[in-house]
Amino acid sequence: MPGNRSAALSIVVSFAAAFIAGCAQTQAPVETRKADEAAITAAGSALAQAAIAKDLDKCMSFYVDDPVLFIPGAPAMVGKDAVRKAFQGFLGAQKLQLETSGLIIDVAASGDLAMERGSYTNTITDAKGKTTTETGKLVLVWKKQADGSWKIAADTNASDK
Amino acid sequence: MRQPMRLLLAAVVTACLVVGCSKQPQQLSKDDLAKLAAELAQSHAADEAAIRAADQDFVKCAEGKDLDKCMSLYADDAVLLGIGPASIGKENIRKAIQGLISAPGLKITVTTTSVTVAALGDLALDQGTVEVTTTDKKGKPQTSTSQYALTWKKEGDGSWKIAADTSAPLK
Repeated sequence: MPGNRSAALSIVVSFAAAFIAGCAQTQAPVETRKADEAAITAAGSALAQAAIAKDLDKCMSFYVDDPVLFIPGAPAMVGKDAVRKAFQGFLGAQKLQLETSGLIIDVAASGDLAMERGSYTNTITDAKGKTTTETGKLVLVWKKQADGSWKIAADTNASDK
Repeated sequence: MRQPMRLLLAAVVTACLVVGCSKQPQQLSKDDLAKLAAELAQSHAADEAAIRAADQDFVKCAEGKDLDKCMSLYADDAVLLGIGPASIGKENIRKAIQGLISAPGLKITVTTTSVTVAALGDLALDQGTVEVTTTDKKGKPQTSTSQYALTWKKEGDGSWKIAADTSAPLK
């Protein structure tokens, strides 16, 4: 397991810190969870905005270094280069209208991993001006980074049909 | 929030769960802390092992065409994305899995490449590849390999269940 030793050290340090902080702070994780949910929601919206603005680098900044991307009718994209290529194609559309609904976020108690799911409607006008609408379900697995930001480790879109 | 703060909060919860929050907080010695850290590391390893074992359990029940056993691995509100249209909820997933396991000559190989377990062991991301071989009408084997990402959630009884099963073919 990568980072096992540093993780173990962090845990030991944290226990010492917990000892000092005492049990009075048990309320904090609830607030933390809400903050994490809000941060994930904001990151998801920012990713959609970056896609609409066709800002490839910005889009990629929401993914971890070793992400996977599963979208309808395409092979699995594994790794950042493959995900980037897929996004490049996606952003080549004339116009993108990306909507999500019914999003539910489950954040791990430790606030380091989260799963988001819900529905999406993508209306895409291709380079020739043809518009198609696709509805489906999405699952995003988010990992909190060392700097506190949330990034997508696994991104799946699946069509309803 | 910064990482050390998150770990601190996580540790507070764990410490409270493990030692209990008595009205008069217990004094934790260095040895107690070491013991708690060791216990947490051990349960983390056990979680990863349980998930890797569950991946192989799915192979066994699918090849053994035991639909109920396969379904017992899924959470009640699970989602399955990647086999046919999106399947939401256990009933829909059941239909999709039934389709999968009824294929003739089914042989499945799951290779787990990474398991990321959340620090307090309630959520995990399991990634790898799944190779599915079935035989066509002429009895000729057909193999396809997919990349998968499974999100597992720990249930109240300590068992891990699949909350989201997502995959896509590699070609």
